[in-house]
Amino acid sequence: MTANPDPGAGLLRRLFRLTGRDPFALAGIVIYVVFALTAIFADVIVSHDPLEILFLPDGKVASNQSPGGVYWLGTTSLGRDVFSQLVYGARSALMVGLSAALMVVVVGTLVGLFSGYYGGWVDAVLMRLGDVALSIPFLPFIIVLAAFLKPNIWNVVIGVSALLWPNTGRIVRSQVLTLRERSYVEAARVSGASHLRILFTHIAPNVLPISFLYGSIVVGWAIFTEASVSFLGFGPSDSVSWGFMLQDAFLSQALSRGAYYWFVPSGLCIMLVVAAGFFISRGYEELLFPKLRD
Amino acid sequence: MQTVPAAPPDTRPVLVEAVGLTKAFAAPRSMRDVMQGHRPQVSAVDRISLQIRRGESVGLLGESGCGKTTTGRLLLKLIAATAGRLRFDGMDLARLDARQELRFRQQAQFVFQNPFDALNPRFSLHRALTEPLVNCRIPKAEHADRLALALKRAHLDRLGHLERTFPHELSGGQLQRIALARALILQPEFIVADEPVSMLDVSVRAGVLNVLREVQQDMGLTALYISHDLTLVRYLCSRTIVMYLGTFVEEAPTGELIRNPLHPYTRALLQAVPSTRVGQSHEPIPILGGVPDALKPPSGCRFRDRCPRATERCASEVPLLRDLGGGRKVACHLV
Amino acid sequence: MNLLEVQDLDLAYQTHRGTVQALQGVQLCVRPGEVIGLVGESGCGKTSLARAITGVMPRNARITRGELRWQGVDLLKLTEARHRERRWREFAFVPQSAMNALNPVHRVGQQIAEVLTQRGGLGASAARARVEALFDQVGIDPQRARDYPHQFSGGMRQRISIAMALALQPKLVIADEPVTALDVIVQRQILDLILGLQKSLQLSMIMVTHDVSVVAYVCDSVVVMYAGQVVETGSAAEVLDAPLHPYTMGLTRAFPDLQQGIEQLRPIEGSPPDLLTPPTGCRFAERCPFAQDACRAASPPLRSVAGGARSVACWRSDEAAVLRAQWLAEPA
Repeated sequence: MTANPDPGAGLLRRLFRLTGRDPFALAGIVIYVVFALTAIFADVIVSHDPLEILFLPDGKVASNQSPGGVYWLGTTSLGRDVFSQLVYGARSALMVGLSAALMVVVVGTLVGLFSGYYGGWVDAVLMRLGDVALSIPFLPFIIVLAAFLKPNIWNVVIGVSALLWPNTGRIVRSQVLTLRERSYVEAARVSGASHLRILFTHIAPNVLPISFLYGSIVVGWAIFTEASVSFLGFGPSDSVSWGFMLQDAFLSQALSRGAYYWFVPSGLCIMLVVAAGFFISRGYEELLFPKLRD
Repeated sequence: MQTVPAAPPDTRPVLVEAVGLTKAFAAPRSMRDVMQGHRPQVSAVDRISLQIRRGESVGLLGESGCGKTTTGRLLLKLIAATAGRLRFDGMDLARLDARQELRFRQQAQFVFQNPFDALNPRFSLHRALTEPLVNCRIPKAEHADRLALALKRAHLDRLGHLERTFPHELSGGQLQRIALARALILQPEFIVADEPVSMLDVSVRAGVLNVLREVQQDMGLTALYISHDLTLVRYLCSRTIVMYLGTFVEEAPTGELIRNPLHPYTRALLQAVPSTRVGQSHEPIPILGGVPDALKPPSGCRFRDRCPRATERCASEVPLLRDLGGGRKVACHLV
Repeated sequence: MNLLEVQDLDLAYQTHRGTVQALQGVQLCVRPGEVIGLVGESGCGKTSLARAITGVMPRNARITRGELRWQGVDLLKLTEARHRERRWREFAFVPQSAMNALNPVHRVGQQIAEVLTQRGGLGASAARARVEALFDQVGIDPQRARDYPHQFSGGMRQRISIAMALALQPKLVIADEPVTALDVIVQRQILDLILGLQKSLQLSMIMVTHDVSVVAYVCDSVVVMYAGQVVETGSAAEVLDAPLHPYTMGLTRAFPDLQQGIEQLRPIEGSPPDLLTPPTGCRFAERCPFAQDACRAASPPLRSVAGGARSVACWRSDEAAVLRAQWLAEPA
């Protein structure tokens, strides 16, 4: 007879073994670290403000300059430095991704905990709210939100979180439904624990790993959504993001002019970060629920 | 050696009392049920009444599905009864305020069947053992002493480093004794043990059973042991109640129950247990095997479709648990 | 000649923590028509031995030494294909969770018929007829062959598993804890069924169990295992009435019996050794109340006593009668 395997035990030890075994997850972590560092040290890395219009020595606007020399990745049609924009774009991407993930984790976990544990009308109401959130079409909602409220990075975050929490909520809820039946929960009742106490000392720690797993998936989604929204022109105009860069390039017909240096880097960055997020989630999932090995 | 307490004098106060206790669950509904507006119910426990006096050790014996586990949980207010009255130390358990509820929790404890599941795998042993003290607001100054005493009672005083030891490092027998120590740390007056050794390995059972017996005698505990194992009940309980499909069918001092069972079900159970000595097993009484359907119990006596001596009266009239004197009760028309 | 002979078998599992020595120097002999009880606590290797005989083992298991002779042929030297030919036809296995090993989405008759057509080479109608005959033998209404597993109770599903094991008329059936999860009355019925089948079909059986009363009821002889080694063998009556090895003494005193008086139960303190690093010397020494220095120094070999009818692995086996009395007399 063996004890039930517990997802949280030996986590750190498995983390080290896993990064050895799973090259994709390792690549994902490296990519994240690189972008995180870029975002944090953005001010140090770049020399120009991303929205600053730059001038050539002869006084003309430095528009559509090819990469090389002072402008590492060239300039936009308005004379802004592409590289600076790329670097600051990392900052806004990560902010969006992590904030949305955090909000989804918090809201989804709380909903799942209360829904699963108390059941009854609490469960019914919360799950129906979740159904409503799931039935709303994603991108159009964000766009409408942006149209009504200020086109602002936080509105994108809130919009994404508002629509993505139900998935986490449901998974947490089903975990809670199982955990609720464990003998040690009953034992806690027998020894006088209140429901809230049981919920937060016994049940919550066991569902958090899964919440974070779903949160990690949200990071990629949020970044991608923000890029889409900005690309369509509904994003904030006062801060630079990769989606903004793509929109700018599109409107200036960069493709027909062959100005690959302008839109390829930002597109590539979006792709890398989203893919990295995905690989990390997969690695984390393997960490939490290791498949039986011989 | 006097191994089980003598038959209790009737003057000992009653600690636990249940009258007409019932627990019904909603049964799965078929499409036809839904359309006809039927809400079929399963009575896991059907109008049982019992009294447990202070210091008694009572056995609740039955096979799986008979409702004994549900009864144990009802007595400890882990699930709510559908009907009937439940009193503990005179208090009506349905009408407790918060303070009384906490006091009840301190005085009545439960030992679970599966020791591997009864402890939170993320809690250190120290945390698991002191959790009841925290929940019942016992002052911190008392914690160390209570912990030491509980461990000593469970024969675990040599187990060190409790803050750094986790459940998965212990064997089944040790875990069950930790669970027992946890139950005892509040110094309760009443414990219910649900199949305390059925999931333990053979060579370990004796150790846990001995601890249970010793603890009960030393602390003067009142105990209810739920089990399907006649030999356990014989070892630990002075009085035994036999349960079948949600009802009590027989009640007697344990020794007498085994020497002279009256109810046909009890007799079949006793005959079926094989001996640990070669060639000494009894001839089994032929009854139809198989778990009876709790959704559609037979009319009248619930055992009648398997009973070798059933009569017509058994099908039409439900036999009530009759007191035959000398602590013996039977629910059977033929006795 | 002996149906099955296990000689000096060593089996190890490769785990990420190291090599676990699950079986060491195991000896076993099964004669035609004999029922052997394989007794021990969890982790003693009895299930590993059962699986080694049938050849269905986890991927990380390695047999490092010994012979496994089936009717004279060493199974370990056969290719997997040849071993598989004998599997189920010559020896069959009823696994521990047999009741839950039935496929829930197929009808039970169909599952047995599949064994008959795929491995037994029977045609469809011959298979159907045989399924009905098997159901008859195990006491289930043949009409119920069209039902699904969930429509049967635990005891009936166990009967179906037994029927499946008997499908190809093997000579040896190995049953791993066949009645552990069943209620008392059903348990007795299944044991009686097994006894009846064994007599009528002249089967040999190996009953793997931790329950001494099952052994007393069904088995002719007993093999007691502890920490991967065989510690005692002999006829069931002799071993249970007058055990020679201290572990067996403990096992037989660990069960209170309904028929005997209530004696104090004598538990065996401690737990089995970690087989990653098995101790030198007798593996039971740590828990044995009679252990001496000689016991901790060297592991006692399995020796024949009483003219070959019994064997025991204990340095103090000739004092067994005295030790038995001591075991009973010692206060808890």
